[in-house]
Amino acid sequence: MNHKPIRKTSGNRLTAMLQVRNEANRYLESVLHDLSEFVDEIVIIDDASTDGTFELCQSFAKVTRLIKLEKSEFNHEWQLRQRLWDLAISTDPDWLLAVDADEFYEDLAKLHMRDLINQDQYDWVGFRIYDFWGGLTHYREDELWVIHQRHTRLLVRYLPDFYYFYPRMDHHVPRLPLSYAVLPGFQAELRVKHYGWAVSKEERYEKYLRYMSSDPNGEWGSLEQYQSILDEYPTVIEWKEDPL
Amino acid sequence: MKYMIFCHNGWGDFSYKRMLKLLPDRDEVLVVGEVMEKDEQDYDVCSISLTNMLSLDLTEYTTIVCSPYWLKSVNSLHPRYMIALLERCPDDEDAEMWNKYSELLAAQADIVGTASERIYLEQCLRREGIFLLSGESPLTYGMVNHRHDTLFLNDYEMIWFEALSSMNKGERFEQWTSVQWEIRCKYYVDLVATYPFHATISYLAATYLYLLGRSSDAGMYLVNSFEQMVLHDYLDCLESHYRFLSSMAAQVGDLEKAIRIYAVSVYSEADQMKVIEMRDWLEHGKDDLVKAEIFRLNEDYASAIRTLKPLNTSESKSLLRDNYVQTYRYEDVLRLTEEGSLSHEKDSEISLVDSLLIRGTIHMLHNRPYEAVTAILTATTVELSALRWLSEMSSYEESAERMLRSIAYES
Repeated sequence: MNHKPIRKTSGNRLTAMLQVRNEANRYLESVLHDLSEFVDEIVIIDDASTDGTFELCQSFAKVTRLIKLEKSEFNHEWQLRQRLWDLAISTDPDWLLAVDADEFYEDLAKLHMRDLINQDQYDWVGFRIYDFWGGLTHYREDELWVIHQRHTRLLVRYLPDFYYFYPRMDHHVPRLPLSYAVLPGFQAELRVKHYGWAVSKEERYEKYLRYMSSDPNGEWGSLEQYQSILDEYPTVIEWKEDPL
Repeated sequence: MKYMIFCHNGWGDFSYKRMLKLLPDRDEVLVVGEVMEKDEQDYDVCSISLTNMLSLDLTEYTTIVCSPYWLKSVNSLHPRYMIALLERCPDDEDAEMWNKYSELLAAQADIVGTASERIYLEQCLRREGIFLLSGESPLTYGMVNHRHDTLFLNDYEMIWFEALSSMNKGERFEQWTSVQWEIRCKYYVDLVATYPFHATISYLAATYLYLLGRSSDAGMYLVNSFEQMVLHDYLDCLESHYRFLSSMAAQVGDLEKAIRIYAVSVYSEADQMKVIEMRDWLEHGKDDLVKAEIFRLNEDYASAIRTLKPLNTSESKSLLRDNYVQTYRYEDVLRLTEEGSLSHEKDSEISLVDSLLIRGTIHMLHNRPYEAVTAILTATTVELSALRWLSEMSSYEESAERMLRSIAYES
């Protein structure tokens, strides 16, 4: 019989999981460099990229599982999430970190990452995600852009016999199985920098068009928020690093 | 067959009047307390005062007891059979005491009925001989002639009638429990097809399938219920829903999986020690102990007791006694304790106080106040907190007397 404790207080292995698509010329390389510093393995699903994303991922030693889809599943997001989850748990991880190709953990978070996972009292950790806007110095904060005011579950313990499921939605599916919500978690005052909006005005406009095209009736998200992507003068606040 | 009804707050409060016409082998039906003349005729019952009731030889009667506060009086009359009809706690009663003594009533009764499906399911997981006295089926399942009336029975009435008939003949009636589970199961499984996203309906379908021993089918419904709970933000379902899967794994004999599933839901040191203990049992081939303990941890005491009863080790008897304590089968607790074959010194130390308190409760419920108080006071010499049992007993007595006074005043 397997006597491995279900929750370990030391020696936990951490696997990062990402789904990526055409990220070769954005932040992916930096993200993978960054992750390679503090995770044990990286698992990636390339959602039918047409640039050099797949090759870029291949070049990182810690990327131990990498699958490229022939056809994009972007419009069936829950299936994509499920596929990534199945691939990630095939590494027999103790903990999983769900990362986007344009997200960076602040230094303090990286410093505490092992403390967060080497314990047996909670099974997930929430972080505060900050949407950087128009550059890498400021994040956006107004009534529609407040994701940093709550915690987002990004780090979870993998419990092999737990029941995992994703809501069967085409868009805006949470990155990690919803069933974690019933397990005890820890809301860490640690921050994640999201650079997805730290792009030029033109690129933001392209993203706006993409959202409107995939969800024209605001079925999966808020039309008001989609519209606010085009705001000329959003409220932004300067980012300050926390001292280590 | 002679029947005597003990209502909680008199005849007006009795919600099973139609059922009285369906009593099998019906001869005389007496109701303790006042009954309106019209009702006496309509339901073919006779009212009897408390004083007159006490002069009867109740060993000839089957008592129908609707309140835990009657337990002490009825016990001392030694009826032929005791039927308990369990009710939710009335608004003006102390819920903790009502529920505890309702459990004691159910434990002592020969057969138990209730119109509440919640109470019914809780009791099905605690003991045998439980019947639901409500249902939705519009179909007729049989008929009974009573005087000039022909009564068409629905499913639960037919089942109740058959179970009581078997009891009166001294025969087993458990088969009717399964018949009722089958009917309830089909009802909820059909309902899931109509309302696939309803957490409670799926949960109930899973529960009845589990009771029927069909865990391999039940899991799917339970998982669906769990998903719906989470999707609707009812997140307090780790123990109620997810852990139930460990009982299902135990039922199909996959004990390793059962332990692993259970382990996911535990965080405290004591619960983690329990996981280690179960793993150790499994490693030493004590599969039945693991199975019973998983059942108990999921509050399925009935399955735990069924699993442990045939075993004859000190460990199994110790677990069996714990299950008897949980289900208020106090006479069985004392019997096992007196057999003196229980393990663990520490356990025995605790059980000395427990045994005395249990003994005191039994004495009280059999109207032996001196012996009851002596047992409790002896318990306080080991553990002072046992004193609170005296106040609990006194509260029970007060509630019982209040009810008796109201019945006496009526009649």
